[in-house]
Amino acid sequence: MTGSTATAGILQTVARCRRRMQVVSAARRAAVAVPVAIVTVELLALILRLPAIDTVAITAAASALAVIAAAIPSIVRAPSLRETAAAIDARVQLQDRTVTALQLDGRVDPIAQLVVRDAGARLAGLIPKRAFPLEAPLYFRPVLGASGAITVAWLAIIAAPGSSWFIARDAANAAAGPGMGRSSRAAKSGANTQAAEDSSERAPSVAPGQASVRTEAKREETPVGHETTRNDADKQGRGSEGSQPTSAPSPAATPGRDTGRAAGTSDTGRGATGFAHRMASAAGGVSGGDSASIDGALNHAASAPHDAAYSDKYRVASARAEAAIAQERVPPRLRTYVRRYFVAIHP
Amino acid sequence: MTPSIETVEAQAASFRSTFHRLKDEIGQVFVGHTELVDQLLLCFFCQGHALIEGAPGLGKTLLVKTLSEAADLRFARVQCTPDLMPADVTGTNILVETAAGQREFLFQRGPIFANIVLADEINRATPRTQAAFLEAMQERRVTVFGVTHPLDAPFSVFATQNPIEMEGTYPLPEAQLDRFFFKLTVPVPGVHDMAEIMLRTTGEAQGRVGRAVDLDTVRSMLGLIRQVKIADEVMRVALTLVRATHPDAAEAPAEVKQYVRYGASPRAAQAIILAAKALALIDGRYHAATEDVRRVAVPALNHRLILNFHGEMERVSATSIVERVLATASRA
Repeated sequence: MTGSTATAGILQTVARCRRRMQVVSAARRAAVAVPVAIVTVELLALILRLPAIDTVAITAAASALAVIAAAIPSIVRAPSLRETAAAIDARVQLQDRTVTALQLDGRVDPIAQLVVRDAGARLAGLIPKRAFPLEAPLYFRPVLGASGAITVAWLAIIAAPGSSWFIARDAANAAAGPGMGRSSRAAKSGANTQAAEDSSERAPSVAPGQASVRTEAKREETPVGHETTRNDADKQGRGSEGSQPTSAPSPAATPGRDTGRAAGTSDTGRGATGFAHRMASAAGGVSGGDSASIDGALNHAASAPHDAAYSDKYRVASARAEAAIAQERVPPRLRTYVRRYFVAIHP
Repeated sequence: MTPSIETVEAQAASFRSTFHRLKDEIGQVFVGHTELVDQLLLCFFCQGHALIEGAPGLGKTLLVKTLSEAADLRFARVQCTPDLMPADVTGTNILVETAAGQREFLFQRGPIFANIVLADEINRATPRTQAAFLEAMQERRVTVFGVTHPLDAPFSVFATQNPIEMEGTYPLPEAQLDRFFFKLTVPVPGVHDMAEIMLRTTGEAQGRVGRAVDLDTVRSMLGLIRQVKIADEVMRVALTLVRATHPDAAEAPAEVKQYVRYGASPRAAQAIILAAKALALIDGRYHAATEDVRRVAVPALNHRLILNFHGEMERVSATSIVERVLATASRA
């Protein structure tokens, strides 16, 4: 083997190993980045209560981004030939033959030629895949274990019966029909709008005696399965504090807060909210057609005019609502919701 | 004229065989401690000087004497005592009568003019006499009465010292310690080696040393060692090791910062690289590797570290600090 042939062979092998090192480096980074991305999305989904279908889509996108992000440093910071040679020497235990041979490239003294020839002979049979196999990166097992555990936990939460994810989807589907989006905010808003319009259409014709039947029928939609049960007496007490809205720690009293949350449900305009709308409409109170109008009403309550007409209307409506929820078999949570509504719009 | 590849290969093969022959010949008399013998031979082929330290009776003097016998070279032994004068080492002018009946000064060469000089118990000589070795060891020449006399090549000083008996001794100054290529420690032999020593020294048959190498071979070997290549990366490892022995260096481990006052000089790096090259040739390579550097780091560095008060008080060994430096460097 002549010197130039040996040098060319060495350079070729080193270049191949460099490419392999880049692939391995990217794969090692991705092996950590992808689970981290998945876990991050799942945690965000739990915190923000994102719907399952959205979470899956976001997770897929985040994983793809993680792979790309993992590949970028390997491409941008590719090892030099000397660095690759040093890595080969360390990996294959060539005792610095490759790095010395690269340094002596072009030298004609006999010792240099001997070094290059020796390195060329050693590198001739080198297979980059064997020299640089795919190995699990540092902390891969803990990262994988943690991400697996979090994924399982997330799946368990969303698959649990009565889970708000499914309720949200069911409520949205029930209200919006099969053509509507299952989980998006727009779909939910649309569903609520439809539900509210439906109730407002019916409200004027509802007699007190009929209201019980309809409420019974609608109760099946009501998301009570996972809600916290409170002491009814306590709620009665809270209800009596309706004249002091500022002292009551009502979430709904805060402008911009979700009225659904105020009732203990998780999302605006879902079953509970719809029910409350219907109750409010039936009572002839200040009721908007959808959640936006409820928010508007709440905002309006914050700066409600202290005129007599509004006060009169409020008094009548709240009395009717109280009468309705006292007579009917209304779930305790929803009684509180109606009372808080009237607390919120108190003149 | 540039030698051909075949010539260089033949020289390298000759180097390896000579090294192993010398080692075998020394092994006829000096039992065990093969690593110590390897290091002494490395030092000899690199034309360095070695400080051999060990308790009395461990064979320090025997080792050097055996080497000089195996290598067919001029050998001189200087038994250092407090009354040894510099002239006893370097030589002096003496008044002689010529054939014509005239009297003139003639330079009488001292023992330093040998190829291998054994300075036995060098720490018993006074600093003045120790200094007489300084110029010879570094410059490879001596100056007497204003006249400079070059020393023959190869030239190596192998000094011994006893670390136990410190009374009546003059510890070598740092400047002189730095001139030693390696500091070698002779350990106490194991039971197996001791039994072999007893068999050889108390029986009828005495070990005999054959001539394994001549002057020209040794000279050509030194030239070959210097031709061995070293990559920048490997040299950087050696330099990093040396740098890490300095307490003010960023690379220095905590032990160095705590116990070392002064670290090794660039001469230490020269010793490491040259010895690594020789080691590579012995291993059949034409380039020094990181592994070679690491193998010679301890004997090249351990006598070049000057410990501070804490190090002296806590009796920290320089060898342990060098090993720590090596361990830290391998992690980096």
